[in-house]
Amino acid sequence: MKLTKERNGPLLILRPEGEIDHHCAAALTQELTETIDEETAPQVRLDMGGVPFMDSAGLMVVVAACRRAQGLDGAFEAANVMPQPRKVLQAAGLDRKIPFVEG
Amino acid sequence: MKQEINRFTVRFPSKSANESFARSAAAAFCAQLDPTLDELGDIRTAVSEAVTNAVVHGYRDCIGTVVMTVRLLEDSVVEIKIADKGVGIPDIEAARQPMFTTGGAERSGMGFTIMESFMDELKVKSRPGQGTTVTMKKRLNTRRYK
Repeated sequence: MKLTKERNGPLLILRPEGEIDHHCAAALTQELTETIDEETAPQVRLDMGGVPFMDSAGLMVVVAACRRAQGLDGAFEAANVMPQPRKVLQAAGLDRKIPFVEG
Repeated sequence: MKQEINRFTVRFPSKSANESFARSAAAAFCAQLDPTLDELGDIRTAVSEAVTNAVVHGYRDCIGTVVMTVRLLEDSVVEIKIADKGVGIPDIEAARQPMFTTGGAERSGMGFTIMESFMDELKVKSRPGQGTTVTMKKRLNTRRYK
């Protein structure tokens, strides 16, 4: 699992690449939350265009990143969510809690 | 009882690195029924959840053996059985409730809910101290030639 970041003014874009499951979830969560803490951006976008698969372990990764961003009074959104991860997020009702955007 | 067309069984240690292997192996075997990408995604997700349960909960204090059997049945039905000989589940009904987990804050408690919603049928057999067997079935929509 690889994570890259891009800062564009107030927007912090975080791009994980690879499949998210229990094996990599804890390390990814730590890396995401540490980056959000360091950057303290008003807006955090989790770009999931490089995540073709996730199971329920991925739910907690997304929730942890969202909570950390919102805990720092920032906005949080998920971008470019592919069909399988989208279905898992929908099964947990997170599509009603987190804005999904394209681009 | 549907007739069996093909099957494979694989045994592997309950290491988290094998979660990826298990879902990929199951999907590769099911591919001979010509499923859609969506159906393959459902199978991969359900297998990942069941194997993770064995890794995280079944063998929480040790490395044990997980046995996965995938059967292809007539009428494009896939049956996947994932078994461990771990600690077992004291209360299966409670464990199947959404958000229920004994795995701590990093677990969502959505594993069984996702297995149920991504597959057509889910059966869980478990005895404390003897292990857990999860059996899932899904009927695939076989694509036809134009």
